[in-house]
Amino acid sequence: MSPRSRAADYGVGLLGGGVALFLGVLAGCTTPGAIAPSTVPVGENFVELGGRQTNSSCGYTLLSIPLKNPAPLSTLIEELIAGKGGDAMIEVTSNSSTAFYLLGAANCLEVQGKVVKVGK
Amino acid sequence: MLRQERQAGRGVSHSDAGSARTRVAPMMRGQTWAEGNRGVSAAASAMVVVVMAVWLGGCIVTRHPAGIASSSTPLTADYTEIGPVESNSCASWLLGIPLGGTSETAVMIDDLVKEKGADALVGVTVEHTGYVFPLPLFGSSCTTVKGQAVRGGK
Repeated sequence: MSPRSRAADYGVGLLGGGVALFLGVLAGCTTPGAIAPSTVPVGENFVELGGRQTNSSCGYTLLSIPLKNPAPLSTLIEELIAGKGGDAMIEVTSNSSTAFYLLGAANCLEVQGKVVKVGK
Repeated sequence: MLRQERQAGRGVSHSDAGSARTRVAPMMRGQTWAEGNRGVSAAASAMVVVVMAVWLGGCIVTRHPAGIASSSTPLTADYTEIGPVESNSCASWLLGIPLGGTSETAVMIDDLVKEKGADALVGVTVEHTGYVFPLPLFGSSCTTVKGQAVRGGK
């Protein structure tokens, strides 16, 4: 085989690998999760602390060995509330997504909502 | 000549069918062709065994947010917190055969409320977690309910 045709073979191999990786990354899906008007009963006496916030956490596996697990849903909500110094969240939505790579997978949780301070 | 080269272990053999040359595994001086290939195939086998062992010994974990609720029953903001509560219930299967387990979410919430002598739960999250162990094709599907037990607010 000539050096030129060997280089062409490497190029085709790299391209094939790239396409496989791309398709592997595409082989994922997002699943809608829970929604709620608020995380705790807030009545009408509350103040919004900023706009819509997002918190997410991902878990990864390599050859099915867990490298990191996603954080629990309650932890994601607590982190958002604590980060803004609030008491609760309103307009809460959540979802999870799973993506499969060539040698592993990623599973992510995402929570969105507005952090509020509840009046006493 | 062919026999001499093979015995010398030069890593190159001539095809019996003609003059086409075939690349074979590199060999140490004094090794036969078969011995050289045996070393490579043993290394490849070991690598396959390691990869399979790692894969089969692993566990796939997935988490999904199944529910978020401000309270388990309609409440005003006038309630007293008793403390955090958490319940976990799992259903398992082996080779696709269910082994039993798991409780309904409603039963889990009722048990948590009764356990603390509370009226309801606030800040409720329900989460589904799946575990799959490729070896021995064992899996588990768990529901986790978390919240704060409260009194009053009705």
